[in-house]
Amino acid sequence: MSDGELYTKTFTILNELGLHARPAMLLVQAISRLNCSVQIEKEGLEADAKSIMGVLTLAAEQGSQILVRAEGPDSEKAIDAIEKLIEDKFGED
Amino acid sequence: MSEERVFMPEPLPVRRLLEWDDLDLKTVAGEAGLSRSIERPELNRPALEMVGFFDKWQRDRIQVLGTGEIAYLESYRSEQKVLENLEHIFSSPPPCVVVTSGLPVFDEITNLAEKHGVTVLSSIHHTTIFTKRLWDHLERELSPYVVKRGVLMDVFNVGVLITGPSSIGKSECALELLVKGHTFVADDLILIRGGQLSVLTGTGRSPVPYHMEIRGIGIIDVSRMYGPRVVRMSKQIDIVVELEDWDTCKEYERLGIEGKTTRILGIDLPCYTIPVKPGRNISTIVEVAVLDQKLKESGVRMAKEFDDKLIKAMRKHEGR
Repeated sequence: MSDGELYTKTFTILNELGLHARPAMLLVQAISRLNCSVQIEKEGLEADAKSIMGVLTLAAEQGSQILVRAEGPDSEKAIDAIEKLIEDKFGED
Repeated sequence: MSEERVFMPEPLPVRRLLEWDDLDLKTVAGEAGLSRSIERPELNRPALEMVGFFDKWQRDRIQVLGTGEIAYLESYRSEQKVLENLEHIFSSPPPCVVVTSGLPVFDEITNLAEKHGVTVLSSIHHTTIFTKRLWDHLERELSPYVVKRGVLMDVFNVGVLITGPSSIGKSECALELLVKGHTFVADDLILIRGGQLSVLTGTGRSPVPYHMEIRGIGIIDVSRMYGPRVVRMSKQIDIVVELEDWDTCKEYERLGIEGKTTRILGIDLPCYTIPVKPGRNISTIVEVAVLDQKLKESGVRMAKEFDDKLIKAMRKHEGR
């Protein structure tokens, strides 16, 4: 995306069970309609944050760090949405 | 799915019973009563009424006289009180009276049948077998029903009702499924009967079965084109697959951990909403929905198992 702003931010996964099915679904749903591309990187492995199977493959456990890279008009919104979910522990613990 | 309009079936004339060959019924007396209406599927064995207890008497049920009732009459047919009770039963009047097991039909019975215009029928079958068969027929014919728009298919022996708006591709999906070897029941208006046994049965509403319309071709006769092997008259409905235009603002099922259901005639059926978009092979997705449901029924929850394994793997990694 040409006019895209690039935002990156590193997060630590806080919820006990990690980024398993339900949190991954919430994350994907939160950003899937935003006008930006979002990648999540963990230990050098990068997944498209709009793909459930991609996010799940990262297997980001509690305490692990993920780097989120969003690019496009809605990139700031995407980072904020992900931050909020992670801080809320995906409503789990 | 739209608001459900429940239809109550028309009462059956008694003469319909004679059409059901597995009952082996013959008219013994009271032919005038053949046009009486049967409104309820329940049956009654009037043993208590014959001894004079009419407190819970339900005259609108078919009365079945088996070994016990006939033996009682044989012993007490000379007693005035017993004959009065028998007359009370006939004069009510019930839809009809059936004597099972090929038992003798005494003159007292045939006289009352003629007098009150109540048909007495006789069957060679034993009471339990007879009542089971009769109940199956009556339940099928006298249960409330709804009519839904869709296609009914038998996929891997699972009854699938495929619904969705006009021209979404229901018929084309059905055609693909039957080319893959599945069985076709009906297209367009599907008559769905409920029952007392929490089972829904679907049949085609059309008087000319096994036809469908394929856009660009016209009306085709499925049984002729693909042979009698790929069609069947009716099928128990096990799952519903709703096809809809892909709505980018709508979230579709992504995990499949919690199943959705839809209610037809008070019965909850597993329901899959499948978004349709060019390039998606819907018939294959219908097969997958059926297999997913079959696995769920045998206790296999694929999405849940995946999640459990993933959490376990993450724990291991954490403890490294």
